[in-house]
Amino acid sequence: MNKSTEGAVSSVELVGISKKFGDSLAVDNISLSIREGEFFSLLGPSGCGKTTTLRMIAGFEQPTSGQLYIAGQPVAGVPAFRRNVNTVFQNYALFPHMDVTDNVAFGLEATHAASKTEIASRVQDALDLVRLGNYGKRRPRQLSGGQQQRVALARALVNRPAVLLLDEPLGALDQKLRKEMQIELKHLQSQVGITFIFVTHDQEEALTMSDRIAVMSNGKVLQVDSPAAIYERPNCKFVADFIGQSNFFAGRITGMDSDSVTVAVGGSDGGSFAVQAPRTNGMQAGQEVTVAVRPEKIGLRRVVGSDAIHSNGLNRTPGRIQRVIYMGTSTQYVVDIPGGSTLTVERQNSGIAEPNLPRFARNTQGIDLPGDSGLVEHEEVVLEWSPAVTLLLDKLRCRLRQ
Amino acid sequence: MSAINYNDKPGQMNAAIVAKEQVAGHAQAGSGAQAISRPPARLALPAWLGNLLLKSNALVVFLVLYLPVVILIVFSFNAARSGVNWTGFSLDWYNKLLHDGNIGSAAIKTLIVAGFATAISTIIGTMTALALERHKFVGKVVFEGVMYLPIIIPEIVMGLSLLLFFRAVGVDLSLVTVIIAHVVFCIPFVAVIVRARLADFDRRLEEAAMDLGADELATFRKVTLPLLMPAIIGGAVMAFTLSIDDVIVTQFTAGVGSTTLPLYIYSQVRVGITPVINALSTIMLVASIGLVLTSLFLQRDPAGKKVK
Amino acid sequence: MKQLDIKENRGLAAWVRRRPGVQAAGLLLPGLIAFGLFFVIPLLIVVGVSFTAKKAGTVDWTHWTLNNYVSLVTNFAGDFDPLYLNIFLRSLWFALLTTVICLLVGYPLAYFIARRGEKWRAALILLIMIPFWTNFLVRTYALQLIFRKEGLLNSLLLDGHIIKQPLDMMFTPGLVLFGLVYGYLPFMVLPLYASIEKFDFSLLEAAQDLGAGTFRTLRKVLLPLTMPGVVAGSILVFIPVVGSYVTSDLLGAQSSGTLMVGNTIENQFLKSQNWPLGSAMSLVLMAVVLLAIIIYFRVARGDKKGAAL
Repeated sequence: MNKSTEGAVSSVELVGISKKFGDSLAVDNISLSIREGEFFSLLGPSGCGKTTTLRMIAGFEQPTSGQLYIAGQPVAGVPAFRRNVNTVFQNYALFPHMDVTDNVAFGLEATHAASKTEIASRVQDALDLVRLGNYGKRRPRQLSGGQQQRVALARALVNRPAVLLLDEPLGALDQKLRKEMQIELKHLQSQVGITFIFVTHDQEEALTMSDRIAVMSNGKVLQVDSPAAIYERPNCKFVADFIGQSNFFAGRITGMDSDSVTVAVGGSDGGSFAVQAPRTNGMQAGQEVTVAVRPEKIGLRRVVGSDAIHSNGLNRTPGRIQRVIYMGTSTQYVVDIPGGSTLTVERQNSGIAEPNLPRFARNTQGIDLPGDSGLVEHEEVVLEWSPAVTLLLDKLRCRLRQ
Repeated sequence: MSAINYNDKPGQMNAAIVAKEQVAGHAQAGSGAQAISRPPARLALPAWLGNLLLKSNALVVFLVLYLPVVILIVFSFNAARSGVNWTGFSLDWYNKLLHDGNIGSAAIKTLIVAGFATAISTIIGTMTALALERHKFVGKVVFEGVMYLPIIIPEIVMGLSLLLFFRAVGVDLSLVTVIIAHVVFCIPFVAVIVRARLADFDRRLEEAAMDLGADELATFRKVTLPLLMPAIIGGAVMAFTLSIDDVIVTQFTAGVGSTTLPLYIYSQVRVGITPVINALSTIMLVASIGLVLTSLFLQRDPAGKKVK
Repeated sequence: MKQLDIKENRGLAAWVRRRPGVQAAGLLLPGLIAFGLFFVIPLLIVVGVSFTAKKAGTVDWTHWTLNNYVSLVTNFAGDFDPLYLNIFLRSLWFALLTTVICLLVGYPLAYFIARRGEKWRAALILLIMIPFWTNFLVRTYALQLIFRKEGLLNSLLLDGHIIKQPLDMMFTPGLVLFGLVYGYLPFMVLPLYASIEKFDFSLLEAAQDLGAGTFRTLRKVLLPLTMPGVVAGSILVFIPVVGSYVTSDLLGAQSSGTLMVGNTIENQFLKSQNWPLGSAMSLVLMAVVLLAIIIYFRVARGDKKGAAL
C-alpha cells in the first residue's frame, strides 16, 4: 500500500492512522497519500488533529494504530532523529546559545553527514538560499521574527530531507510579512523540489500555496483536493463553511431529470422558492439537503419598473438590502429574502456598468465613486445565480473524495 | 412599500430612539449644576511619607546588618588583644593566622569536605531534579516530600540521627561521615534550583535537536545541558556555601581528627578569642565575596539573557 | 539521503526509550540511595532509640521503655514537672517572635529593593547577602563585642555620659532574640523579595484609582498576592530557629531565661551522653514543628489549601 494511484512512489503515506491521548481521540483513522514534490497542506480549526498528525510524521508521537510510511519505508517505532524528515517549528525553536551558523549546521554535525569543510559550504549555501548569507555570526535574539523563521528553514533544508514539515510557521508574522513569506516559501519549494507538508488554520494561506489540501475536523479528514476543487466543490457543509463564505439553506429535492434537480428551499413562514442544481450520484427525490451558494457567485440588480421576473435558466429571488459593507476591493450586501432568511452577496467594485446598475453613484457628499454600485439600504433588488454554482450537500455526512 | 414580508420591525427602532432621549432628558434635568460626588477619601499615606519610611527602614537594616561585620574587620587590625580600645594598626593577627597550624589544617579539611560534598550533591541533585520534573512514577509525591524534608527539619535532628546511624552500623566518625552528611542536606537545595530552571525550559528546543538528527544523548549534551548550566552552577555554589559554613550537623558527625573551620571557630569562640579569629573571618568574607562574584560570572546565561 | 534504519526498533537503546519508567528509575537511584540510607533510616533509628534506656556513649537495644517521654513531663519523684515544657514553649515563643520581627522588618525592605531599578536591585540583594557570608558564629561573636559589659555600646554610652553604669545586656532573652533576628533575616528577605519581584505593581495603581487607601491596598492587593513569599520566608525562619542552639549558646550562655530546646538536646547528646532522652526530645521537637507548619498553612493560606494537609 505504498504506491499512489499514479504509479509514483508516494512521499508520505498514512494508512488508518489513529492517535489517542488517554481517553480522547485526537486523530481518527485517517489515510493520506502525499506525492513526491507536492506542497500539501493540512487545514482545519484548532484542535482538529492536524498538528498531531504532523508530529506523528516527524516522529515525536507514535500512532496508536495504523501504519506510516515515508518514502515507501515503514517508520513505526523509528525515533525522530533517524527519520529523513525535518520540521520547521511554530516558534522556530532556534538554539539560543548558538549563533546562526551553528544552528544551521546542527543537523549535519549531529548525523556526521559530511566533512567539516563540506558542512561549512552547505551551511553557507542554505543561508544564501534564504537570503541571510551574511548573518552567520548573529545570535537568534538579534534577529527579527521573519529572519528567525528563515534561519529555521535553512536549518531544516540543509539536511536535504525527503519531506519538510512546517507547523504553522507564519503564524507569528504580521500581515504583510506573511504574504511575502507565502510567496517565498512557494518559490523555495519549487526550487528545492522536495515535499512540503504544511499545517495551518488559515484557509487563505492554504488556498494560495498548496498543490493539494486536506481539510480536517475533529481528528478526521473531510476532503482532500486541489484548492480550486476544495473551494468550488466542497463535499460537506463544514468544508463549505470553513473555506470562504457560503450561504446555506435547508431544502428538499422535489424533482429530478437527467442532469439537474429541483430543490424546494423553504422559508420559516411559508415563502419558498425553487432552485436548480446539477445532479450528482446518490441523489433521490424527497431527500433533505443543504443548499450552498457562495456570495461572489450571486449577482444583484435593481428592480426596474414592473420587473417581469423572466426565467433564463438562472436561480432567482427578490430581496431587500439590509446592510451594505464596503470592503475596498468588493462590497458585501446582506439581503433579506422572503421567508425570513438572508443572503450575503459579494460584488466586486469594478466600476464597470451593468444593466440596472448605474455606472456612477453619488454619495451624500455628491462625489462620484466609480466602484460603488449605488445600492443602498432598504433598496429592493433581484438576486440571480447560475445553477452550476449551486452546491447540494448532504445534511449529515461529509463524503470523503480523494 | 413592497408587499413582500421581510420580517420588518420598524416600530422597534423608533421606540429605542425615543427611550434614549427620555433618559438623556432626565439626566440633564436631574444633574444640573450638581457635581458627581465620590465617597469620602480613604486614609492614604502621602507618597513622600511612604517612601521615607521605606528608605529609613532599609537604611537602619543595612546599618545594623553591617555594623558587626565592619567592627569585625576593623578590629582584626587592632593591635590590642582584647577590649574595644583602638591601640594601633597592626597586621600581627594576620601573621599569627598564617602560622597557625590548627587553622591551616582545619581550613584544608573544610575545603575537602566542601569540594566532595558539592560535587556529589550537585550531580545527584541535578539527576533528581530531572527525574522529578520530567517523569511520573509511583510514589512521586512521597519522594518529593522526603527530599524536601532536609530543608525544613531542624539541623540538630539531622545531625544526631546520622550520629546514631553511624554508631548503629559501627562506622567511625571521620571526614567521610561529614561529607555524607553534607551531601544529604545539600541535595534538596541543588534540586530545587535546577528544577526551577527546568520548569521554564522550552522542550521544543530538544524536539528540534532530535528532529535534526541528534539522539537523546547528543541532545542532552548539546542543548539541554548548556542551557541548564547556570542553574547547575547556582546550585553548586549554594551547596558549597552551605557546606563551608555548616556547624550543627558537622558537630555531630565529625570524628576526632576531622575538625573543620566552623567547628574550630566554635570551640574558640566559646572559650574566648583572639583577634586572630577576626582576621580569619575577614579573609573568609573576602573569599566568599570572590566566590560569589565568580559564580555570577559563570552563571551568565549562554543564551545571552541576564541572570536574575 | 539518509537510509532509514529499521534496526532501530530493536536493541537496548530502543528498549530504554520505550520505557520512561526505567529512565526515571535510573535518574532517581542515587538520590534514592542517598536519602533512603542516610536520611530516612537514621530518622527511624532516632525513633527507635527514643524508646531505649540510657547507656552512655552507645545504644542499649535490649531495654525498651517509655521512660524518656515520661521524664519530659515529670521529675524524679514522678510529679508533673514543667521544666522541659517551658523550654519547648520558650523555643516556640522565640521562634514566633523572630519570625514576626523578621517579617515586619524584612517585608518593607524587600519591597523597597523590588521597587528599585534593575541595577540597584541586584546590587542591594548582593549587599544583603554579604553579611550572610561571614561565618555565622563569628557574626554572633561580633554581637558579643558590641553588647557585653566592656563592649562597644557600653563604651560609647559611658563616654557620651548617657549612662553612669554599664548596661548588663549579655545573656538576656532580648539579646538572644536580637541575635536570632540578626542571623535569620536574610532567610526571610530573599523569599519575600522573590515573591514581591513578580508582583505586578500596576495593580496598586489600579486599586488607588478605584479609591482604596494605602492600608486597604496593602491588605487586599499586595499582601494576598505576595503570600507565597511570606509563607516560604516564615517557614525558613521559624523552623531553624525552633531548633537552633548556637545563638542561645553564645549570647545566652544557656542561662535560665534563654535556654532553648536545641541546647537541651545538644547537652543530652554531647555532654550527658543520654542519647535516648535526646532522641525523645528530638521527636517531640519534630512533631511540634510539623504541627506548627500545619497550623500555619491553615491560617495563612485559608482552609482550601490547608485541607490538603
